Parts: sequence; C-alpha cells; structure tokens
Amino acid sequence: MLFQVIRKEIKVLFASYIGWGMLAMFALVMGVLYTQSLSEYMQVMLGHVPTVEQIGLTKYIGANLFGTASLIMLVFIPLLSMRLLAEEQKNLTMAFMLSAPISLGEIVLGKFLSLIGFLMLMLVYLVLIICILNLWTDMDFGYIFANVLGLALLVSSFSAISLFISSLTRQPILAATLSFLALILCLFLDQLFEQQPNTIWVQLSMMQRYKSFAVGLLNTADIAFYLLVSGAFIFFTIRTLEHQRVFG
Amino acid sequence: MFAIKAVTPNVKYTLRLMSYMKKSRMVNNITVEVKAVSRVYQARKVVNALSLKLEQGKILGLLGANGAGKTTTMKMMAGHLMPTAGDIYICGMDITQNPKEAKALIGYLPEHRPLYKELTVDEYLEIAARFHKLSSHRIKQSIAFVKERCGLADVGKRVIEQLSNGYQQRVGIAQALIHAPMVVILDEPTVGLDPIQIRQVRSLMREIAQDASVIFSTHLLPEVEMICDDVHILDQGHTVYQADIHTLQHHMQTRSLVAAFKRPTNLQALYQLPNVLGMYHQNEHTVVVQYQHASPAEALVTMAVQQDWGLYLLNEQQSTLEDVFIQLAQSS
Repeated sequence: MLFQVIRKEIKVLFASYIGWGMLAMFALVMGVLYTQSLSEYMQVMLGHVPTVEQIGLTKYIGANLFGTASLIMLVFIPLLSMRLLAEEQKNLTMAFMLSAPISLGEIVLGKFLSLIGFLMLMLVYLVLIICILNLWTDMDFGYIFANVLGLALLVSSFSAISLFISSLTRQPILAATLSFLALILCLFLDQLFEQQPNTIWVQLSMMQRYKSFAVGLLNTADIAFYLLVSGAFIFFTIRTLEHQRVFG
Repeated sequence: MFAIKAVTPNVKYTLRLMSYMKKSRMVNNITVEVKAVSRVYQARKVVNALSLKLEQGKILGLLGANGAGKTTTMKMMAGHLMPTAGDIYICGMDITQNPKEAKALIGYLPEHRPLYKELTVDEYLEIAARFHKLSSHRIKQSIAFVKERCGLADVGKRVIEQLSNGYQQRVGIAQALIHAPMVVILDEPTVGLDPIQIRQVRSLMREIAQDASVIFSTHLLPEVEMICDDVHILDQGHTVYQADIHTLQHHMQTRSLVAAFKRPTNLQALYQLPNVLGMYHQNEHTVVVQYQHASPAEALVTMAVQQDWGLYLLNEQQSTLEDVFIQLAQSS
C-alpha cells in the first residue's frame, strides 16, 4: 500500500507540470553553475588566476554544486510539501485517501517517501554530471559519496520538518512560508549562537552537521542526527493527523 | 475461471456478503449498525446518541437542515472521524477497531468531491482501484464497469478539470463504486446538478441498491419520498424521526382539498361532509379542507351545486414530507 501512495503522489506531481518544471529549473541552475565552475577551474589550472591553495577538481566543482543544491532544496521542499498535506486539506481531497483502506502512517510515510524520491531524481542528475568528468580525469568518488549522502540526509530531515508544518495548517501559502523560515532557522542555528559555541543550539544546527559531509567525512553521529530528526517529525505528522481524526 | 467470470454482479455480491458474514459476526443482512454514537466538537454535541440500522439492498435517507449533523454522521461512518462515544459496525466489523477491513467495504463520496483535477478520469479511477487493492486484471474490468454505470464511457481520456459539474459528480460517484462496496455513502449527491442529472443520479442510486446498501444525505424532501426505503431525520444532532418510508407516508395521511368558490360561502356547512377534520381560508375565495381516510370531494361538489356557491376549482393537495419535517423540527 505504501507503494501505491508513493505512486499516486508522483503521478499527481507530474500531471500538474510542477514536477517537470522543478526538474527543469534544477537542471538549468546546476548546468549553468557546472559549466561556470569548470571554466573557472580551467583558468586556475592554466595559471591565469593565482591559486591560494592547490585543490582537486572534484572538491572545486563539488563544493560549488552541492552547496548550491542544498540552498535550492531549501526553496523546493517547502513548496512541494505544502501540496502534500496543507493543499490536500484545503481542497478536501484528503478524504479520497482517508476513505481507502490505508492507515494514516502509510499515508504520511508514502507522502514523505514520494517527496524524497522526487528530490533524489535531482541528486541523481547532479551525481551524473559530476561523475561524467571521470572520463577525462580521476574523480574522488569517496568525496562525492559523502557529499551525496550528506545532501540526501539533509533533504530527508528538511522534508520531514516541512511535512509536519504542512500538516498543521490548511493554508498552503502559510505552510510554505512557515516551513521555509523553519528550515532557514534549522540550517543557520549555529550562526545565531556563534558567541556560545558549546551550547546545544549549535549541536542542533543542520549546517553544523552538514559541514563534516561537505569535506568528505562520514560521521555516524551526524548520520544518526539526521535520521532521528526525520523519524521524529514523521511521527509528529502522523500524530497531528490522528489528532484531527479524533478532535478535528 | 470461466464459471467465476460468468457470474452476474448480483450473485458476486451475495457471494461476497456471505464470505464477510462468515468472517465477521454479521447477522440478518445488517450492513450498517450505528449504536448510540455521539460526536463532540469544541464542547458542542454535533451528533447526539444517534442509532441506526440498515439492511442490505436498502436506501437510507439522512434528512435535516444545514448543520443538523448529517455530514459529521457520514464522516464517522466512513471512518474519517472518530466518534466521541458509541460504536459503528460495517457488516459486523467495528470501524474504530478494524478500520482497514471496514473501509474496504465502504464507498464514500464526501460533500466536496475529492477529485485530483489535473488527472484524467481513467488515471484517477485507476488510483482509486489500486488504493482498494484490486488485482491488476480486475482494475481494467472495474474501471470499465463503473464508467459504464456512471455514464463516463466517453470521457475516460479527458482531464477532470475540463469536465462539467455534472460529469465531475459522476466521477466522484464512480470512485466510490470502484471496489464494489457493500455500503455506499453519498453526501448530498444531487446538489448543484440540473434536473436531468438529478434524475440520473437517483436512478443510479436505485441501481446500486440492488446489490449494496446506500446511505445518502439531502435536504430535498421529495428526493427522500421518491427513492428511500428508510428515513432518518436529524435536527441539531438529535434523531427527530426514524422509520421506514411507509410508516412516514402513513403519518402523512392527513390530506387536504383546495376549493375555490365564486360566491361567499357558509363554511360551517362543510363540516357536515364526511371525514372532514378542519378547514381554513387561504384567501377570500379559496378554502382548504383537511380530511382523513377518504376524500369528500364528491360530496363537496354536490353540496356546492345544491347551494349554488359557484365552485370553479377543486384540487387535491397531499401534504408533503416538508410539512412533516417542519412539524417535527418545531416540536423538538
């Protein structure tokens, strides 16, 4: 049944052209950035620009692309997740899924996975254009893997938080705005508490956790952090819908 | 395989029902049983100790003014809302204990059609079928069957958004029927449709009721008189009236004659006519005569001719459910 929910969400997403539009936008932005970084790197190599430190192609391109991709996700995820619950509640189409013999858990998890699945298409595209450079030079696959994993985990906790906020309101625009603000807050929590580097707030910052992946490190504590955040907010979302069924 | 394919829908339903009856504790073909269900919303009792029973193949009309609790009752029956108190059994299955099993037996069309308007009719119905766990080879059959039944055969490839209101309503009904449910719940299925479409929906409901039970809500009183087997009248969450349609019609046996006379009449003389209960002036010339059992029309004409009142209009007026409803709503 979980698969049927995912299938339905993906189908509705692509039927409204929003899906195609977002994929195209992502491909465009990444493509422009990719060619730009590549030519910049060439100029560095040819000595036109003085190099402060020697840096590999993978790291140079990867840092640019993965960094920008995470910011694009910051915009895309609230927009996509507002459709999943807030808009369904507003259009009263939620009844369609509630009438079917599917549990609330399956509905929420299915919606979450459909969102992740769609965003993974973008990540696959990103990985492909980076790995294709391996034809001409040796790429650092370990570094790429750490970055992709980090981005995927970041995306998954972003999605879970956004989905939860989407379940709280029936106003899609409000849901998107609120979750955009919430994600920014989560991401840059460490900047707010720069003066107190040892407080828990810095530990909770998404960016702080992402930094180790960005330099190619796999830290189990960071992986666990993202997974826990995702799991917790999916659970909260299910609880919200259950609460609506009992009291709403 | 051949034998199974050859059975008619009706036999299929009976077989399915029998298998459910074995699995659950369903008795006497009761498909829906609501036991003293209440629902509290923000400290207000929207539905108060409502009970009802419905047999297979019957149509139940839920009747009430706006805000009477019809939609909330239906939402609880469909498993969308939890009752604050009381139990709901679908074919003997408790909807709060076994929601998945119970929901598999229900087809529900909410007041606002839950349509994904960017999809085509076929795509939408396919999703509905898959949600109800139909096997791949049954999906095509079921879609073709409900499309035929709801008059959607020509519009399968069209995007729902571009369909007219009436067609969208049919799509809504079609998604409720896709899995051949035992209980079909339709919330105000005829609102916003033109008279021809209303007639089509009504005949469709009668068709559905050959196999399954139908519960529908309305505030149109003639609709209930026309197609229901059972009537349930709600007012502010309370059951005001509950009976089968014949009992209700029996209640409405007080009828009246409308008579108009050219010349002023001695009304007292009319009381001598048989079966007359009372009368009043509708306007200067027109008199409404209420009677019971047999009509006093013939005697009235004879009297009018004898006394030269100049009778120029005589009309039988049957009191409608509306009268009964207003009476019940006021008395509660």
